[in-house]
Amino acid sequence: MELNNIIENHSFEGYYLHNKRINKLNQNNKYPGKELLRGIINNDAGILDYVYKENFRAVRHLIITNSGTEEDASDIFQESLVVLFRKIRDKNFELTSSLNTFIYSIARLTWLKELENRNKRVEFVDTDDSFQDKELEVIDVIERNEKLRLYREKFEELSDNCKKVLRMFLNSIPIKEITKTMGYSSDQHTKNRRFRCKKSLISKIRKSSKYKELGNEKNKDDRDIPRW
Amino acid sequence: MKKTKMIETYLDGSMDISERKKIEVLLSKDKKFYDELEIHRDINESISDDEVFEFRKIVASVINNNNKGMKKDDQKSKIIRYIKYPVAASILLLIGLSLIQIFSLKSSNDLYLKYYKPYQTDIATRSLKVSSDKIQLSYLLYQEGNYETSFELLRNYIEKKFNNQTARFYYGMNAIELEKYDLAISELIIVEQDPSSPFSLHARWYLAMMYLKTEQTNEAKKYLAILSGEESMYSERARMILKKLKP
Repeated sequence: MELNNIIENHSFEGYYLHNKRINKLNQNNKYPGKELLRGIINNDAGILDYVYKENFRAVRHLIITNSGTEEDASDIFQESLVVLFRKIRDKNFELTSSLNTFIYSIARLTWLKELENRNKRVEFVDTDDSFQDKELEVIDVIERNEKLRLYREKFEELSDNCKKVLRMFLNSIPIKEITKTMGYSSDQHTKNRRFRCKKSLISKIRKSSKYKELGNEKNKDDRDIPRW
Repeated sequence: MKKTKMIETYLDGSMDISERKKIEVLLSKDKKFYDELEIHRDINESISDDEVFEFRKIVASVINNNNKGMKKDDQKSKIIRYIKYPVAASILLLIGLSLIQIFSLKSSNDLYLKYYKPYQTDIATRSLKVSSDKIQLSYLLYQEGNYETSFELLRNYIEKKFNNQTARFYYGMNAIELEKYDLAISELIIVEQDPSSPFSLHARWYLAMMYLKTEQTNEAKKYLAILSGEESMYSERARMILKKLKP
């Protein structure tokens, strides 16, 4: 994977700031790691608020000092937590470092990936490879998250009726119930509606610039790898 | 559309065996077709995965709320930097601190707007795999945001089976969305008072939300105090609200 090469050779200056923050957390240690993970998976707004306060400034510094904007910082932080959520949900997940280190690693790699998507070259300040192992664990989840996020965003752009029909089919609601709930004239009409909605969704996805950024237009091997 | 239909019927298992075998041969030979099917499969996964969708929304709201606070803090520090005289700086600081205290105390309705979100569950999705009756459909409709239909289905159901606490809970939750707050409170009280109900805890939280919404602060505090003393998913939020409530 081309990203592995990028990670092997490069790092960001936010590393030192990040370590400082981890030390601070260890002193305070308001929540044990397991409690944080449980809070995250249960959508606990209080825990998420705490995670934000402990991590956002470091991630923001990382993004801002490496060609990003405030908006990028919020977006990358948000998606890093979503990637973390997906990892925690995976039964085999085991947190082997501090949560802050893990979040920072995800954010760093997500930003590298985003810069790569934007085909942007970045100057970096220092070189440190201490995040590599953890980052390699999450590369696939980050890439998959990007793709599923795009699909879900485009799904949300469909009409309400299309969304309802597709959801009901996916939830195995009998076609007769769907026809009745939606007020359609026949089951055949319901089926056709389902296929039309799905086709429209796929068309929306393919037309989006993000889909092209994700490397779906060209063969991945033919893509330019930016030098960092 | 032919291709879409073929792939979808293959994925949902409604395709007959002979057609299925043909598709499987095609999948092993045609990389393009395989990729196409994977897109369909991933799209279905992303549509079904409401957990991630909801989580992303909550994180976004946590970020927005905190970023607003951070911008205010930045503006305040800029002002203080330009004050030339220590006395003036002290006065401004005092004013600033007082304002922070005043604005950190929120009205009940503000707190309701900040903390209320519809009940999230996968109960309907899971149960629908084995049962597709109307009561299950009503839960799914609530989840889908079709509150009026869900409300009507549940009203008919509760008339016959008034002891079903799950149905009563969802009936109350639909009532909240339809702004029938008195009805929501009366339904949620019934569920909350039944300790054997799996929804008793959730009913307590939403009762607190309802009393905040209707500005019955003392009643809200009563339920928030119970929640904050329990170890549950709501305790931390209950404590935060209690801190922010005006005396």
